[in-house]
Amino acid sequence: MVERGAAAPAEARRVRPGLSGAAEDPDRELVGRWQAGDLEAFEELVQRHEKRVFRLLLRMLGNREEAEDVAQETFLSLHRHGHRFRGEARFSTFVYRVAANAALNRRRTLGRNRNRTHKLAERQAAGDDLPTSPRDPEDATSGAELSRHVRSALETLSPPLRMPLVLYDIEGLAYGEIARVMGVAEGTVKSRIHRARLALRAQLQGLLRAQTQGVPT
Amino acid sequence: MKHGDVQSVLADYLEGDLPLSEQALVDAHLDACEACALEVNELRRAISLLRALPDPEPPADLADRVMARVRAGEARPGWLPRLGAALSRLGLGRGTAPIALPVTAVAAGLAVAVVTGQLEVPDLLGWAGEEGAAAEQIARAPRPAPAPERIAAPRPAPAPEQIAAPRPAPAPERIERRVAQAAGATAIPESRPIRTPAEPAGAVLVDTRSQPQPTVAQVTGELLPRHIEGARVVHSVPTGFEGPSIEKAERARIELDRRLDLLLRSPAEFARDLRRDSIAAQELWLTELAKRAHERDLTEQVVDALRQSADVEAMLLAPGLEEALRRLGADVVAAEPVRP
Repeated sequence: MVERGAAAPAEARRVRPGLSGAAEDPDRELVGRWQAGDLEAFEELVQRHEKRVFRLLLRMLGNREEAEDVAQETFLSLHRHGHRFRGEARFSTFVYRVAANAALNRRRTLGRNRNRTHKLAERQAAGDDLPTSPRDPEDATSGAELSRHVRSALETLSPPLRMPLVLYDIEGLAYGEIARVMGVAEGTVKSRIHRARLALRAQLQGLLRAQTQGVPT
Repeated sequence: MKHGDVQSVLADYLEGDLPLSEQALVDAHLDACEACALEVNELRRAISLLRALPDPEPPADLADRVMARVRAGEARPGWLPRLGAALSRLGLGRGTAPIALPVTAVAAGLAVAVVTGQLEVPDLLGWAGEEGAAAEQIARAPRPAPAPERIAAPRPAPAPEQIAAPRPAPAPERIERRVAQAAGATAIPESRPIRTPAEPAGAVLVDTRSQPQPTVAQVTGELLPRHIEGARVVHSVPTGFEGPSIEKAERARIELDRRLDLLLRSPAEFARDLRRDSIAAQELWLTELAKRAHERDLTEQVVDALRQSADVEAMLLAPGLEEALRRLGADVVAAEPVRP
């Protein structure tokens, strides 16, 4: 019943970038040009990183419009404070860090998410098992529906747990890089990811059990 | 292997980070323990579901919108990086890390600007001209004209944080006067503009070539804000009551102590308080607070208070404070991993 061995971690899907900084940094040349005043170089950096910034923000904020808004703020902030980047880490790590801060600084959003989390917990305590546990297992197996449930479950996690989980399992960053992005120790990152996964599993339990019973996996 | 032991190594097991011998022990336990087997199975499937989320596409015009706002001047960097960029274009700086430019190079650049009459100091600093045009002036690298839709797109309203930023940007004419005074020129009336717009771009108000040449120290001492000391940038918090008087210094110290005490008493409240400032001001506060904590021998306490705070915003401030403390030479130990 249980698969043996490793869980095919994210390395299998994405190559985790190394931690050594500027020497291997594919953005190094562009960053140099941008810091010397070349706006076109900055534009290219924005194009290179917009997808990952947007993905992280969408997973953290749960709302497309807000993610877009904060993505713009992220790049403006990056441009404003870009002189602080000295090539000690990869530029992408720096970008993630600025985006992570921007996401966490969106106070109203955080407040709203907290309320939403609270309401979800209340609903579940009251016996309402939606949305993380669909009443009809068939519903849960369609792709879009499944994604919706997973996204809802993800949104119930607190930002300190959700951030490392998203950076690890969705963005494919290594522990060390996440530690730099979040400004916490590597051990903290690892333990938070595990706690986040346990919480995610708990949120999705209804769905997972329904899948097991209703649809052969 | 016992149930509790398996739980403690589950994270590593799922990642395939366990040594083979330990992995075999966990496998053996999973064969015997239905609860653990179910947990591992469900964790793996939850992880798979998460990783299978479709990749969202960012809006197609995200980069265009960002660049329109950048070109509209919404993301002007501070004066020092622009100065560094300008110097690097003149071959006087390194360019890639403007903030780390040695002050001597900065001073040399300014001295050249003043004494040769070849440069306009205000334009070089990006203080002249309108807010939006200044960054562009300094970054005026040869490049094609922006596409019309980029020009049409800009959002003119500056971000609130920019408005609130308490950075005391000196007025251009004040700086020019100080440059001129440092260069030994006679006093220029306050109201008189140094250069009228009609004058050629290369003109400088004061022809310093016939004047005694100022020393680098004179120029830097007069021109650079007082938060530059030696070859290192040391920010000062714009508290609004800076100045030479002891009373003012004392009031600044009281405000720093108030914030420090708040940090120790309630990191969350401290973080909320701090977040009301602009990002630039937050960093300046952290730097000054680090200095004050260092003076008061409270380094460990303040770092621990932030690191161990349950408030995420307070927690995220810890690295910034640690970095500021390390710059002061304080011995800050790396954070201990937090146990679940």
